[in-house]
Amino acid sequence: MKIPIFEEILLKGINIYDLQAIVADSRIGKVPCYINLSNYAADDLETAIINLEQVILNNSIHPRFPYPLYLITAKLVRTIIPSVRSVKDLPEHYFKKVKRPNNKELQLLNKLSLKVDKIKNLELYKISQDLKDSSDSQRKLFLETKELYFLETINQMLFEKIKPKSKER
Amino acid sequence: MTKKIGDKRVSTEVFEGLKGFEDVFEDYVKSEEYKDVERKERENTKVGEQYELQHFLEQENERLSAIEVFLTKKISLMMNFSQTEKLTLVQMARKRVLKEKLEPELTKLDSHLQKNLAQLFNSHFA
Repeated sequence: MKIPIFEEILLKGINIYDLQAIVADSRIGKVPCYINLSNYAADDLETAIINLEQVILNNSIHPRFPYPLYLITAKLVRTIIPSVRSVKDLPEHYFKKVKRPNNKELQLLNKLSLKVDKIKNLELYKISQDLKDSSDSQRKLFLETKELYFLETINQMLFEKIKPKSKER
Repeated sequence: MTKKIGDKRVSTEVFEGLKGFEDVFEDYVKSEEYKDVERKERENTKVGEQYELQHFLEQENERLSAIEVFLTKKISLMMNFSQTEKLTLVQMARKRVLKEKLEPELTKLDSHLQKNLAQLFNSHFA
């Protein structure tokens, strides 16, 4: 396995066939990747993102797990793929010097490779949808608890008045 | 008797023999010391770099393990044995009881809430 550091994916075109070929050849999901879309006009950008989402969905690649795929665009876009404004905004954690790994590091890389495959084999879209669905009820619980805390505070102030401290002489 | 030049101690006889060259000798000693420090720093950086990749890979290993546990165990456990709904019902019931208790107290004409509201309205619309 390759050391998981950032890899730039260069686009030849934005139609679905070009993207399919690029995604199939790339290591998206196996190492952190980014696609620079900052040179595209608004219409092309939208088409590229829709096509890219379609292609990664067809290839069962999740844009966040095990390794993320980032889009670089200064424009505000609505997509399931995480996006940042420039290369500088990408997480520094994955910027490392390329170096030939020694035996111990190779062993670690093999371990990583197994874990990556294990995560890739999960139904990631279903799991993330489950997580999203459960968040609504969690949010409701949070709001109920917040309101209850407010009412309890009022109750405490009205009925369980704390005796004022006697002034020390 | 010894005398000090830079970080080195030299005997008085040697020091006498170096008379007139003190500055040159001092500069030379300092430059040698500087080279030593530089060499040590370089070695330290090299050792640090050696373990940087290993540390990064160990971190990644831990991160992926945590993600795997989260995706395979924690989420499925939460989906199958979620307590959120029950807790929400408990909180709603407690809230209802408290509201029933607080309502008569707050709607009294001489309650603090009423007084504060009256003061607020009077100050703005008087």
